[in-house]
Amino acid sequence: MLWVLRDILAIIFLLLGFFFLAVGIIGLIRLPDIYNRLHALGKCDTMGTGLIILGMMLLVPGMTNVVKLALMGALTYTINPVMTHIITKTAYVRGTPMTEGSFIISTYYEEDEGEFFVGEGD
Amino acid sequence: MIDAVMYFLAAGVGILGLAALYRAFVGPTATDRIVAMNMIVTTVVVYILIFVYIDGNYFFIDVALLFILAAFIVTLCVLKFLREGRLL
Repeated sequence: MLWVLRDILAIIFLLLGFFFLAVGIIGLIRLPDIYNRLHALGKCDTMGTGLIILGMMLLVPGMTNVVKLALMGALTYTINPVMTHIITKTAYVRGTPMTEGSFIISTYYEEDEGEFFVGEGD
Repeated sequence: MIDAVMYFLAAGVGILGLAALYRAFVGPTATDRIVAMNMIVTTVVVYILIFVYIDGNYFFIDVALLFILAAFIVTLCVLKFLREGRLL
């Protein structure tokens, strides 16, 4: 009985993670701008991978594999937001153009004395 | 039951990776391609985890762990190259 409960819980986690990944991919395909795409993907990517790792933690046997998967989840939850931030700042520094109607509230410009102002375009 | 879910996830994650590859092919700027590459790495990691369950060979979890770390270093290097024009 407990095994059936474990399988049902794992299936729920795996399908929920797949749903989050699918939503992130739809945002990556359909949104018009690099910043919008990162807004969609930076959260859904982390959440989907974390849920799938959580579902796999219920399925693998042995304590060693569970600890490895927990380490993978911790690494994913630390690395993905850092990478999203670095990609966004690189796109901003390179002067990637935005869509029509969006505007900048600049904080980098005052900190770095104009060094990181929006450049000539990508 | 759970085998059917695993095969469905394998097919679906493969389709998601191909969609991210479409963005890497079309994407107008370089950072778009980096984002798409990042997403392809995520789908490959999930695919390795699904393969771990289907195959029953649990040492491939280490492969997925190394894949995450290597992809992080690669993305950092490419972003530094894009930002400064040189790598070292």
